[in-house]
Amino acid sequence: MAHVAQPQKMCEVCKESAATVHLTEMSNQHVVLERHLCDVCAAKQGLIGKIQVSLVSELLGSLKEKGKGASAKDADLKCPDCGITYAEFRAKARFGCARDYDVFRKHVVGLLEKIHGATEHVGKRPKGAIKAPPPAAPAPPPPAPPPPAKAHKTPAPSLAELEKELEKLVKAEEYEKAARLRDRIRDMKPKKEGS
Amino acid sequence: MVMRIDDLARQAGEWLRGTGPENDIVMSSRIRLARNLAGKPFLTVASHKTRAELEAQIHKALDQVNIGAGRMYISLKETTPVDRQFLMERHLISRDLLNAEGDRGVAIAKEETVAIMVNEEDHLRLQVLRSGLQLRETWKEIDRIDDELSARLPIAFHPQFGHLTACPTNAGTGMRISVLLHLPALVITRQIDKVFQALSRISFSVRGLYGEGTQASGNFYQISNQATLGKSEEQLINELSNVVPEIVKFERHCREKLGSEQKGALEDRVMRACGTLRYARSISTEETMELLSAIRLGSHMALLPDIPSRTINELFVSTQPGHLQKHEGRALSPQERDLARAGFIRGKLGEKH
Repeated sequence: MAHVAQPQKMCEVCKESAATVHLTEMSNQHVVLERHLCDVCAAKQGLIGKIQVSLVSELLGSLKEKGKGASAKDADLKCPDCGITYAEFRAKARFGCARDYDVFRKHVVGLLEKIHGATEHVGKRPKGAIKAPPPAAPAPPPPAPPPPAKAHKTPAPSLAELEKELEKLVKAEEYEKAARLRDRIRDMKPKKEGS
Repeated sequence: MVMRIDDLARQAGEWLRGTGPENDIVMSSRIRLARNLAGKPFLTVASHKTRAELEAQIHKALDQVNIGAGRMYISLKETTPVDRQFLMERHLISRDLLNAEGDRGVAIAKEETVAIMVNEEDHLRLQVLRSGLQLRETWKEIDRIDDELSARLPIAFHPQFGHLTACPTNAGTGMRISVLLHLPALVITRQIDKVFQALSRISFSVRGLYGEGTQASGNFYQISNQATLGKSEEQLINELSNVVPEIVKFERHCREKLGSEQKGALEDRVMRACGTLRYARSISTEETMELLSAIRLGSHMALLPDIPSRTINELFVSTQPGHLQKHEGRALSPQERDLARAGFIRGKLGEKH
């Protein structure tokens, strides 16, 4: 977080720029050291990165308190692809690979909700993923106001069926197929606010 | 023609020209997209070998994408610290990329309005940067580049969570929109906190000139979206496009008030700043930013008609430590830099006799 204005202290390292990062190191609840650095020196010492990590870590921590508490079993959850455990993700606040989002899914959903206030992507999709089978669609989902119930011609399976199918595809990591199905489901659903 | 870092040093980025809409207050509009390749580990865990493969694969794909004229690719492993600092000061690479180690790079084109970072926190960080308030044009361009790239590279995408990023704060659209505003009158009239409070209530973040964790030096503030998931790119752009003109209006209002109610004090502030910049023999970055901010305000309020606003804009960047060292052609100690900085400014603003 950028704290702004205020009387300026100079950075204790380069003594050139204004100190913008103020740290208090504690040991046994006693202040051991107060440090004032500019952002450049703080970044050089890896301090800014640490601060950002701690924000996400904090969110992760607050999630734990709210929920039933991440059990020791959850901490051991491990991604078969990148090898990162949930505990490591919590410590670093960075995923190791795309698959982590599914491996740690039950925690990820809550975390995303906290960060973004949402858990579902509604923006554009990569060209490659949608261009494969269907003929190149000219534009990503247009915001055109849809007539409320534009029935699909195919003897449509129910929403519930499709959603189940979607879940299966996600589990099987058939993301391209899942993406297409997801859009189909979205089109079937009545539009929510803010298209 | 093959462009090199030294060629950049001889020119100024398009975004400093001060030509875009609302450029008296809006310095630049920037959009960045975070992308990762499917089936590859994120850089958090990538081995040296994987890093090298990623850079090669992405570099190759980038060569096939139309990112604009005057393109160059800079492999950062082969650059000096001063060069990297220089690139960061021009907003062409992030501090993360500057500090990272190993194989990484940046593709730059179109008078520095396009910069694509490779192996930053995410495999790809696309950036388009323009002068003034031009969010829709900026989006159009980055959207096209993203389309071309994602047609050539398998992008990590999840049907529910969207684009998958190393940090969960970027997931979904992977899009961060930043508008860089110069708000000296709001600071002088002590209204700036009101702006911050209003912005944080509606989930926008405010940062300094050089991004995360930096002080708002020179009265520059970057306003960005916080959430990247749950809203479409157009929605995010609309939201920021609605907010920025309000801040611009507020700043203008405060400028007018200063001009009518505190004319003498304002002129004094501007002229003293101008005098110091024209005559100082040694000056720190921080003081430079503050004084430049005052003369930028003065120039836009027609108090300093003899200094073009472009010259002032460029000085904000060209007086940064990396730029000075690049200009002098060698590494300088902080004391030497202050001397060199004062000399450089005198050369640009013209010592008056």
